Amino acid sequence: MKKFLFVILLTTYYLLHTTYVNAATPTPTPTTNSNSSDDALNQQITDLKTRIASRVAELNLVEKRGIIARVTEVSGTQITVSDLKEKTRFIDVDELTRFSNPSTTESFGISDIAVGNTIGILGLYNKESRRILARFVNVVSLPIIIHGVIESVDEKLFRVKVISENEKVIYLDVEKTTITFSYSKEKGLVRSGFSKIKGNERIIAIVQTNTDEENLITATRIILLPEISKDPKQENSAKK
Amino acid sequence: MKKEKIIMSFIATLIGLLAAGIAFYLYESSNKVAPSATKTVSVSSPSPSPKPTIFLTLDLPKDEDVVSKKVVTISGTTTPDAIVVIISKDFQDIITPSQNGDFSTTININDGQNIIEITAIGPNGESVITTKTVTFSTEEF
Repeated sequence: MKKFLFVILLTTYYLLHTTYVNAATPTPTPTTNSNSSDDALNQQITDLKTRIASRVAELNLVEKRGIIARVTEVSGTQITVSDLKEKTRFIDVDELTRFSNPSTTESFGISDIAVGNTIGILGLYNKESRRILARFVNVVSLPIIIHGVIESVDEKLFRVKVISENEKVIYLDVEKTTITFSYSKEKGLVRSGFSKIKGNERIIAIVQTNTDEENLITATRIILLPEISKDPKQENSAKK
Repeated sequence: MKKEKIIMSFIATLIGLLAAGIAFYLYESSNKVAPSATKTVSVSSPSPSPKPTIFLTLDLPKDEDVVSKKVVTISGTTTPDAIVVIISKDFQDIITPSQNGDFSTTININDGQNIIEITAIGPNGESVITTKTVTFSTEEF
């Protein structure tokens, strides 16, 4: 019995501890045309792969961006600006950055940019440093868009008194060049005229500021919205 | 003798406690504020600011985007019964969204930076304004 048990144990041991050995693959024999030129080619391929990988990483980190902002500080090779959302942005300039100002024919550079100027910047935005390396910087003039309600119309002076959303009184100068539109659900946005401007109606005006009078501005385009209610915020403040 | 000492110390402790109690009572009674000197202050709970009934979500264009074509798509979502006013330097249009509030249109832009203002105005006059900057450039850098 003991012998039988011993045999069973021995058999089990051998069965469990059997190792499988893969047949050895033959070592590839060196080809006859393998020489130093192949090594150089392989090296070139490796270099190219590395360069492509680094370029891809660089492109993912940097992207083209264009912003409009107001200059708050100019120093050396950096322009600090405040963008349309009042966020401070840092712009780097280098020897490749080109500056322009449409209102001047003379040469224009970083030294000509003053605090308060509104500039357009086109360059490379680095997502990591959150800075823009400017390639093109140009002085721009922004259209001002006024949303408000018409308070009164001066038919002699061709002026419209508007209360803007921030409760500011603005006198819109309607010139011959001013294009007036009117919107209705039925007709959509159609051309209109000064005679169609009525008080107590909602208005959107695209304007240019006049330097002579602070509150008087020339409207380049006017959109009348007679079917649209006044903004509740303005109505509430009017009741107060 | 010992018993007398214990009784005496017990009596002394009692007298001490009594004196301290009287002193504390007198101090507390002097601290009371006369009813005429008090004032009732009512604190009203702050009224929650009314939630805007209109919304505007823009899918396109991406802000600060640089494009190489002069035609830019403007698309997004707003309240279905609102109107959408699109204004740029040389362009204006008013469109109405679909029944689910989606809207889409194309506008032409100028060279360089363009500011596009998109305003959604609800039937009650409430409005939401979003501004995007899109730059047209074919320069390679």
